[in-house]
Amino acid sequence: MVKRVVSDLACFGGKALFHSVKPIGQLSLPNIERFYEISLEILTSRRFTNNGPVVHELEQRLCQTHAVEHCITFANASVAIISVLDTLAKHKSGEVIMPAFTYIGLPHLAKWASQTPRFCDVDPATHVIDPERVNAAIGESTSCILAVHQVNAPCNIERLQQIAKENDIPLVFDSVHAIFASYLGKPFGSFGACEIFSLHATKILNGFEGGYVTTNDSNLASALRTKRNFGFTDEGHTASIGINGKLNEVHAAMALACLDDIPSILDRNKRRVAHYADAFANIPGIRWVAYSEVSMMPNYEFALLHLSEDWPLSRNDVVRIIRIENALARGYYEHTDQLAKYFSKDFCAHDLPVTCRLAREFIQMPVGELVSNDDIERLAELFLFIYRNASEIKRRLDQSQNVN
Amino acid sequence: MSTDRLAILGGRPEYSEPLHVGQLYAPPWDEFKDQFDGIFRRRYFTNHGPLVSQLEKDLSEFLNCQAICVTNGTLGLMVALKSLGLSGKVIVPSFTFPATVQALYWAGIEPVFCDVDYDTHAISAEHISPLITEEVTGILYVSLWGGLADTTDIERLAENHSLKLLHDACHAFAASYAKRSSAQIGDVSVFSLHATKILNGLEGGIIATSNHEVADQVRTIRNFHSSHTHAAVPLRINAKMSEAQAGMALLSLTRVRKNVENNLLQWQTFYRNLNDIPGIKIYRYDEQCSGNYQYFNFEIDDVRFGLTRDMLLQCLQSEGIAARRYFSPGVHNLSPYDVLFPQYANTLPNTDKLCLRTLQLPIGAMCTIDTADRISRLIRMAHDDAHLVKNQLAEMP
Ligand SMILES: Cc1ncc(COP(=O)(O)O)c(C=O)c1O
Ligand SMILES: Cc1ncc(COP(=O)(O)O)c(C=O)c1O
Repeated sequence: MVKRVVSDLACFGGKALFHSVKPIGQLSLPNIERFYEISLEILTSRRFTNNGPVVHELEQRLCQTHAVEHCITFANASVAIISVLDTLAKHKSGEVIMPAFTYIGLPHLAKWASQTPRFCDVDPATHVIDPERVNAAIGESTSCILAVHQVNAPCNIERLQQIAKENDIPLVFDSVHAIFASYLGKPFGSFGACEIFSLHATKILNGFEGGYVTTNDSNLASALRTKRNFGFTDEGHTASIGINGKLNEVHAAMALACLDDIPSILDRNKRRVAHYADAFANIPGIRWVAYSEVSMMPNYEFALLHLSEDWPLSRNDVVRIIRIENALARGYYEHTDQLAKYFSKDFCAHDLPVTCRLAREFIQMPVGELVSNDDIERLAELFLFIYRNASEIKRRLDQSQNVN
Repeated sequence: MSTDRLAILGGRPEYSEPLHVGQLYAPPWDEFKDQFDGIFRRRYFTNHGPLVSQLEKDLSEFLNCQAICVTNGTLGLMVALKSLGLSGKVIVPSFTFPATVQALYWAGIEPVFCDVDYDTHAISAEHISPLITEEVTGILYVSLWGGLADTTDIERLAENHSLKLLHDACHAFAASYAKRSSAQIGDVSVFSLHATKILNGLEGGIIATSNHEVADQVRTIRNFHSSHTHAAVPLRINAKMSEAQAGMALLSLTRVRKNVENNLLQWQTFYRNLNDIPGIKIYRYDEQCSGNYQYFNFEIDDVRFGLTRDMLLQCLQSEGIAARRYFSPGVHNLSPYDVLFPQYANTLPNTDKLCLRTLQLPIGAMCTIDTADRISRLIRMAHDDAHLVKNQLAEMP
């Protein structure tokens, strides 16, 4: 519903702007015919899981797409990361150097692999881990560097590789948000010791849940294949401690049936991001996190909005208001306070000034297949309305807070 | 077509495609398609969607406690260990699937290997008691072969020593003992929905508990979402079950009773055919137990049968029957546990003996009563021609 007066806002009892929710994930549909064709074969052969033919085909296709020798699928990217860290860590219980301005789960995953997270601050412009801080953080107990590409910018790959090499420490890239992007003309997938991707439905390639590791290291590939299947080398015998990290055949079928559509998904993403910029152009105090298109060909997965310091409402108030309108925006990587709660021993806010600042600044706007140009225009109208009526909105928000 | 000569002695193999151990029940195609049409219509693919909610509701009723769905049984065990706050050491059988013990590793816990009772194949209070020390915080009890043994002594022991009792019930969905469901043993039970199990979710797991606090912990630990209950938990992970898995499991759940009956018919056929063969001892549930019969498990005494378990296995494999040696060797003899904990070598006599003697035959969707008859016949032939088979095997490289 178009907002005419402040009480039209859903947070004050008006009807929500969107009838159905506008999420922040890709949520793409497969080629349905292809999905059912593969699934029928799965049901007929009763080969539902355990490294079956569909998983094989998916792994081969992903090797081609990423121009890499090995692809090892997993039940999800989290289990893939745990398995990689457990395999590569230099010390049984050492430290994994990682950013904190990223997915909230990463430090937990290090802990499952008996490692302690060691957070490093990020670059204020690109938001990726600062290599010089990585270098400074390396010590006796460093097990691994887990660098995370941001959707808008790649890590400083060369410098990180140099640091990793000089110190003889494995370098792993979480490339979940660089999926199907490329760096200096080369697809992500073959940098560092390995790279990790996710097939979660909100990601660009939808496998319901799922993940995969890409690498050119055949020893690592075979260790990971063994690890994801309980460490089995043959029937009954294990080579190492393993886990159940298997991707099932129906999830693999889903990813396969989505794979052919990737070029058009990337194209739609690019247009969506451009449309956001156009539609919001006349609203004061708004800018978008720029995609670095010099070295990288991005996948345009997110639309990240920044409100100027003098914007009349806070980032958190804006997020709260538009969520009630069914636009499921959220504060982008806003969870540093939660990290502090979980990892208080390892987390020192004053060591991460850039992270702590960035965590308050951006709004991750609705994106993906369920967000149309029309939706984006309505969101722009909503933002303009909020901007123009900010003082009244603020007064009423304060009032309702006092009542509560 | 049955031959009168074993394949290993030059006859034609009974099956041209290998017949595997595993339930592998599948829904009819039109039901599968309806279920997935619904998922695509809703575009709700994962993150505790409507099918997972429905499944958890149905399972809660079925199991008579809170049921929380996860990616697979192994991740279920890892989450359950964290939800119970276990640390230090935990008592666990070595006669189990490696994942039981591996889950302890991921949760940062040291295993204390415990021998099993020779008849139930499960750890007993008698075997557990001497292993309880200051560092032991819990017992990870495993129910094998789709049945349940009497656990009252173990539950009392756990209570008296203030130990948590976690039940690896990965085999034991739809099983009960004296009318008590397998989900009600100990503090938490974990089930597997792997396709080879009675309830098929492709892969999948259920964490079941009657304790609300533990359930809240489990719901928090299994994902990184912020909108859910925020119990204070030690650690979190992505162990979410997808809508695809839940959709499969829902279709499977409606058939569980029927499939148990189908298993039972095959099981009884094996039992009738094999029970009188010298040197064969068939694993049977306790009288008070109602099981799911997803495994036909038996033991070979090589002296009386004429062949060792491994010789019989070779015979069956050459017939295209992929019988399995669950579990051989025991986990304490598997890498790296044999090196990390050498103190357990030769201290678990029942385990070591069972690991050498037990074998499982195919039961489930791929099989019929006729399959059971044909496999039984081959086993009887192997017994009758034992000396020929032995000589033949001795000549093989
Ligand atoms: C940067 C990053 N790494 C890892 C993950 C974990 O992926 P999954 O959901 O497949 O476990 C995510 C998921 O959102 C992510 O954003
Ligand atoms: C006794 C036992 N525990 C745990 C597991 C692990 O379950 P899942 O395969 O679902 O991870 C299995 C089965 O595979 C099992 O047999």
